Amino acid sequence: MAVVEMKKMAILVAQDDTEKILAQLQKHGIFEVSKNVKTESPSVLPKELASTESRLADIDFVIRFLTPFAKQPQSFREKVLGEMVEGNISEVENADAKDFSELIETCSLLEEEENRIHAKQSKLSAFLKLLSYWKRLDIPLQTLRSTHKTQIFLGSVDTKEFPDFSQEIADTEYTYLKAVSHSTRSTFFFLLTHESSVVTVKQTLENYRFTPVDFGKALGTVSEEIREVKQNQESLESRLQEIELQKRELAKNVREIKLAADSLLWKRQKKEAIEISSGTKSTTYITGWVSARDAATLSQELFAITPYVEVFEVEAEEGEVPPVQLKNNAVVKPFESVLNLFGTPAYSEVDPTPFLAPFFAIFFGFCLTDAGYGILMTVTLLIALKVLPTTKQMHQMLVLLLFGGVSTIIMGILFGGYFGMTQEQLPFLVNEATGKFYGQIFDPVKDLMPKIAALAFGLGFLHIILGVILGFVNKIRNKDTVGALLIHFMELVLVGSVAGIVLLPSLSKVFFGTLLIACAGIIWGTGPKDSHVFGRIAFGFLELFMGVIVGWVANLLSYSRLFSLGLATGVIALAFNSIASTLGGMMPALIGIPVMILLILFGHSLNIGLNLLGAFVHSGRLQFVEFFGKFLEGGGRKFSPLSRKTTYLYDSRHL
Amino acid sequence: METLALTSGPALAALGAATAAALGGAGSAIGSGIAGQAASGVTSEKPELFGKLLVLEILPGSQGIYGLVGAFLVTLFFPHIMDLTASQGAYIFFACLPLAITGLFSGMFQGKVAAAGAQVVAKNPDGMGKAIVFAAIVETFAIFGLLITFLLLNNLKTAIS
Repeated sequence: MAVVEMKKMAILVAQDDTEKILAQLQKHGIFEVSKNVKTESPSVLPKELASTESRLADIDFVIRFLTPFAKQPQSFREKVLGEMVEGNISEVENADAKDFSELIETCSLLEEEENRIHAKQSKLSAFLKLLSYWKRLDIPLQTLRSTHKTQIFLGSVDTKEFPDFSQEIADTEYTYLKAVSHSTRSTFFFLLTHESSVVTVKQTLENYRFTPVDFGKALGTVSEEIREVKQNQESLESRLQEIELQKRELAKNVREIKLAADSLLWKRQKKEAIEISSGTKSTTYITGWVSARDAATLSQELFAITPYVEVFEVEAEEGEVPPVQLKNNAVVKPFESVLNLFGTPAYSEVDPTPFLAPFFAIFFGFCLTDAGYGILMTVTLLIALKVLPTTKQMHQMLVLLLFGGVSTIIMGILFGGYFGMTQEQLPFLVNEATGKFYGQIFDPVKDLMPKIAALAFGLGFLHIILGVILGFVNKIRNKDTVGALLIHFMELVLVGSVAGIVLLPSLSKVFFGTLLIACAGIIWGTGPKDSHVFGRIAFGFLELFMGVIVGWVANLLSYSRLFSLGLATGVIALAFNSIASTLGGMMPALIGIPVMILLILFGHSLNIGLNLLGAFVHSGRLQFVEFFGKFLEGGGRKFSPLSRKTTYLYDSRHL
Repeated sequence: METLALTSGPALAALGAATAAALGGAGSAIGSGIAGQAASGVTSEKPELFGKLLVLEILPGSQGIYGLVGAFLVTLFFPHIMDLTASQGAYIFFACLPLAITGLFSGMFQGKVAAAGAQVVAKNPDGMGKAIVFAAIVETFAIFGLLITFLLLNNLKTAIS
């Protein structure tokens, strides 16, 4: 239930056994390799790393290239897995031993050919479009050559300007103009002119921004050409289909290739580890972090692999901080997902997870307060946990929500929320003696002030007090005893004194005394230590008022979100119920009842969706702002050991 | 039955409750909108930060909730709203203003700070704590608004009963 104690260990191993040792460390996922700054790395290794990376890039290309043509996921489970494939983690171990170079070669050739064909296709279809404007030109294109005395122009001008243009050409001697076709933008024409008029014609063409047409090497009539282009297109299309068939055939290997990709990922991780380590010709010297518990057995474990290894503890480099690994029991563990949204605590800080867990669960339920929604959530999540293939993080998140669901049921019973229904609608759940639902303590509207508000603020009070106590512990752990006493302990005294003055007026003089002491402590404790006495007092005053007193009021009032969100959930549910029954009642039963059911399903799904999200983030926010604000600095570095992480393989036993 | 003039007690009290809820909600809508745009931008490049960014987006959502609290207070403190005199109604309206106005502006500006926070998180996910603290400070003032509104309404409630 805490931040795990870490030790920095060094492993000195014979060069030939390095990979074996790293593989073992990777298998257990207990060792984080840290960069060794003192000596230079053996120079051969970057090359090996680069070659692994280029193989990985090739394999990734093949996967991307073939995946769309592989067998598409059929079952629900496969669809959820997406591009992951199910299997056993041991299958990955030597998956990259096979030679995939031929497959990679084939795929890249196919890709090149596809690209060429696509380029040709777009060229052909552009040409086809151009030819379609010249269909009426029924003489072979090769005969349309300018002669000794005449010149031919084929092309287009703007359709709007064509009448003026043709007028001008007609006014020129020895010309013949024939429009072949026109689109909305351009008019295509054939223009023949005698050599004596060429200069004038050219000038006119230029004035009207003439665009000459380019038939390339085409020789036959336009309709012949069109036929040929279409033939070409067909043959390209059929080649594409052949390629697709070939891809489908190759795609049968996708699973194997994906495993190889994972295997290469492991390999890369190992190579990177060697690259940041140092060594001589015959040895490798690896340093890194292990939890104190695993450190004790590390040497034994590695000796089992090879006798040519030595393990010993070393000092951390100057300024190097140990990575943070959290250890919590199975009940608290899921709540680490909440902490992860905020960040990682520093190595010297308390792990807040076990402390935030109960509050998060209660707040979550408080924001929903509907037993019906809670049951629905709980059942859905139980099914999802049973059926869905989940990653570790997903699994944690689902379990976390499950706690939220259970809490929602309990809070729902206390607040009498059942899908927003009234007592008249659910007579079998009503306790005749009290006129309330069984187990109901609060009426969400009538008891809002003061009972429910008091509950929310009371929970908030405990929450913040716990935060201040943890702040005290953190200061002590960081060996700042004076700070712990002057700031956090005095804050507790201050709050206690205020509570005492309110609750026990007869002893108010004593409590005023302690209040003054607390204020003095906080002023002196929070003022900057290196400034002048008066400066310190002035800053301390500011901190006392703005930070502590104002902070407490602001923090406490923030817990009003609990009952606001809870009430909102209930009110929206009630509103949808009454809309559904009113609308349904207005129609004949045959239509009315289905409409009612649809409206109720829609309304409640919307309400659950929105408020579930709200409950999650607002319960989280109360941790991040109000609770963590009192003690947590964060900024720790998460422990990331060598491990058998996979991108593609899903092994439900390896989580 | 007496007609409900715009300046009658019940109408002014309702105006107060409505203003608090509406302006608080508007502030939150604008604020979450600004923060949400920035968060979406960051998510497009770093989808793994979605969770953190979602937290930043909801921070400016509090003002809407405080506005609701204010409206609840009016309806709960004065259940016989139809019996309020014009001056009592006016008092309630004015009492709601601190909450409404601070809610509107702190929501807007908290959204801007949260959007800047999204940039902090984009560059360095460890900066999440600091980004939250910056944004939370803006919210303090909406809470003061709520506090004053509460005290003013509470005074009237004790005076009437």
